[in-house]
Parts: sequence; structure tokens; C-alpha cells
Amino acid sequence: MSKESMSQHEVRKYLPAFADGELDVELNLKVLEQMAMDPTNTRRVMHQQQLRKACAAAMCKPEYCCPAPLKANIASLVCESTDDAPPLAAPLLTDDNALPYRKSQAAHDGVLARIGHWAPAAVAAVLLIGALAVFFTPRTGIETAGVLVSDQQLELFGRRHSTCSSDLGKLVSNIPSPTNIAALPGTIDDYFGDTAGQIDSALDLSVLGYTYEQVGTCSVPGRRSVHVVYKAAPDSGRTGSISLWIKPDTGKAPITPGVLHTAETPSGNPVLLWKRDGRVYYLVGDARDDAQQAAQMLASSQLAGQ
Amino acid sequence: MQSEAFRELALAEMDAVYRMAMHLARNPNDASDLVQETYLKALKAEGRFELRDGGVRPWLFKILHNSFYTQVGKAKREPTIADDLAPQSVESELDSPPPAWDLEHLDWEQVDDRLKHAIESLPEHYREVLLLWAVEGLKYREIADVLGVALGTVMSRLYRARAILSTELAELAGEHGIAIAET
Repeated sequence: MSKESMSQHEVRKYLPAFADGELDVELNLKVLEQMAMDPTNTRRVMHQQQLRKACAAAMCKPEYCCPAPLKANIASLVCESTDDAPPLAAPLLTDDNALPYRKSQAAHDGVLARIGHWAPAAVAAVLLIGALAVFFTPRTGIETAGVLVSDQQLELFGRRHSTCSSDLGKLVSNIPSPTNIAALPGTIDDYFGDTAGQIDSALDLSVLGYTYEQVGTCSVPGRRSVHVVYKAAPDSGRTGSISLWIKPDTGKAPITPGVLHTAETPSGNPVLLWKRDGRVYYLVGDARDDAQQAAQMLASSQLAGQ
Repeated sequence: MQSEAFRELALAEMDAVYRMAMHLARNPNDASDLVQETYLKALKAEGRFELRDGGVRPWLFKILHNSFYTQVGKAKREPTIADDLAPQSVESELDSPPPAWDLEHLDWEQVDDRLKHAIESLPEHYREVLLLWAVEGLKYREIADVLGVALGTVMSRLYRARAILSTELAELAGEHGIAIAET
């Protein structure tokens, strides 16, 4: 028997730690001595070990495995943060999920019919769209989306658009969310630590029937991105919502300046992306026409601000 | 530590980080966001990482834990009523010995469901300690470091969590006529 035997109180206290292999040699010996003296203590240790195994088995179910798209996205984040790594991980946008921008789609017949009493604002929007079409067409013509964004990122864009627009509380609030759209460019400038917002003279989509709701920070499409959510205004004839992600242009995203690229999420949401003046923009909507008009309008606003 | 080695180690822990994020956030979308935020922060701070016995996993869990509680706005280090009571409670619980009955007698399919439900129903601070210990295999010291609490707090939370789960399983055993009386 060791010099000092354990009290029953100490035995009870140390048995679970013994079962977990957390005791030092001296305490281990004392507990072993108690186990030899009383077989019930051995069963108590066994019970703790069985319980640990049972907990692990119960909580290591397939639904807790990291989904493959998320793994791929994290892997791409890791690559992206390495200076000599390629900008984005494969697989990238393919012809199957890429939808080339077509000027004719911007003037879809159904749009005006839905606008109703928003006609004056719609006229202004159409003028802006026309101006943008003039801007885009001579330089690049119809642009087929190339290697721009991975399938995983498209899936993430779609998921976050759906999640955050249906519950604004899901937006990460690391920056103050202005209630007034006019203050939004300045807020984004402050977050990015630059002054590009002076060129982004407007992020306002109210003329199209979408009102600014909230802004939050986001880790998609890359670190230091912001996610702006717009929702269809009541009686605007619009439905659904629009998400706009903005991030500083690191030069790694191979988006041609002045070109509007389009793609689609796995669930069918339209995705439009462009870059200008040191920033990259990703817009996701619920309705294709609305998303295209919004992208064109935002891009033209930026152009007008130059 | 070489950056490349760090990233390789960190990427190998994606399943564990996601699993823990799922247990904290309790839904896949929030868990995915949490995992990405964790990795972004880890990459940003990789220069401060020091490799220890437990590898990179406890460090990632610590970032995950802090990110989660920052996001949900919970005062993670403020003692709860349960925490304040825990040491005394555990001491008084020591008056009754830990259970000694054999879990092997139970139907494991039922144990899984019952146990999963019981774990999910545990108070948050017990659940997190239990999961880090049982599922992720962290040592008491590592858990204390992840959560930013004292070693004794980890032990008392774990003691209480195990007692609750054992009681739940004893009820299951009783429902199936399995004797659990200690000899």
C-alpha cells in the first residue's frame, strides 16, 4: 500500500480523470491501488471509458462531415493566400454553367409590363441600361464567361444569397450597417481602407424597385468582402432580393475590366460579375432580368461617377 | 513552423473543425460560415502558431470557439450561474460514487439516438467541453486553453456532463429491464 491512501472522496474525484489518462504517475498508482482493493472502482473506470466511446460514436455521424464544396472552397482560400498560388482552385466555370451576357436579354419584353406605376423610374433605368450597353458593346462585344469563379463559389454565392436575404440577422455585422443608402459607399470605403467609394457614386437600386436593406462582412468571395442585401420594394412589381458582394481587386480574379460576365448558381440564381476601379463586384439575384438590370445599372452608376 | 506545413496540417483538420462548428452553430449554413471564418483567421495568424503535442487542432478550435461566441454576441468568459455553482455541486455529487454499470448491455442503436439527444440537450458550456473531450479527443489542458477557462472548470463541467449522460443512459437501461444496480 502506498504511503498515503486515498479517501473515498478522492477516489471518486480522480476515477474519471484516471479513466481519461489525465493523472500523473503518482495519482495513477494510487487509483490503481484503489481499483485493486475494490473491483467496483474498476467498473467505474470502465463505465467512464465506455461513455466516452459511446459519445464519440453518437456524435461522429455522416451529417457532421465537412461537405466537399466547403472543403474545396477552404482549399482555394488557402491557395489564394499563398502569393505564388493560382488565383482560384479548379474546377472552374464551364460552358455548361456559364451564361454569356446578351444585350437583347436586358430589354426583355416582360420587364416593362411588371413595372406598372414605377414607369418614370423605369424609364430612367432603361436609359442607364442603354448607356451601359453602349459602353460594354464596342469594347468587348458579347462576352462568354470564362475561367472566373469556381463551382464551389457559385454554390456558396447561391446559398448565402438565400440565407442572408431571408434572414438579415445572418449577415456578419463587423461593420456598421448604415440605414441610409447614401452612406453605404463611405462605410465600405472605411472598411476597405480606401476611397474607391468616391467613384462608386451610387449603390442605389431603388430606381429598379429594390431597396437597400443591410450590409455585412463576408468571407466570400474572399477575405475582406462585404455583402449588401437589397429587397424588392412593396408595390414595385419586383419580387425576391438581390445580393451584391464587393471586394478589393487583388488582380487575381481574371475578370476583364468593363465586361459584364454572367454565370449561374447550381440552384439557378443568376450571377453577374465585373470589376472596376480597384474593386470586384459579384451580384446574385432571384430573377435573371432583374439581376442583369441591377448589374448594368450599378456598373453604369460607377461609370457616371468617373 | 514552415507555412506550407502549417497549411497542410490545418487543411487536414477540416472535418474536425466542421464537426465542432456544426455542434456549436447547429445548422450547416452557419457552420460553413464559421469554418471559413476560422480558416481565414488562422491563415492570417499562422505566424503566431506554435506547434505543440496536440497539433494544430486545439488552436483551430480556439479560433472557432472565439469566432462563434463573437458572432452570437455571447459573453463567453462571464461566469454563468451554473459555473458559479459547479464546484460546490461537483463536490456534493462526489458524495455519490460514479456509476459502475456496464454500458455494453445496452442496444447501441438506441444508445446512439438517446445519447445524441441527451448531448444536444446539455447546457452549452457542458456540451462544448464534452464534445472536445469525447469526440475530438482533446486533453483537459487543451480544452481549458480552447475555452479560456481554468483546468478545474473543465473537470467540473465534464464531471457534471458525464453524470447527466449516465443518468440518461440509466433510464434507457431501466426501460429495457437492464439491471444497473451497483454491487
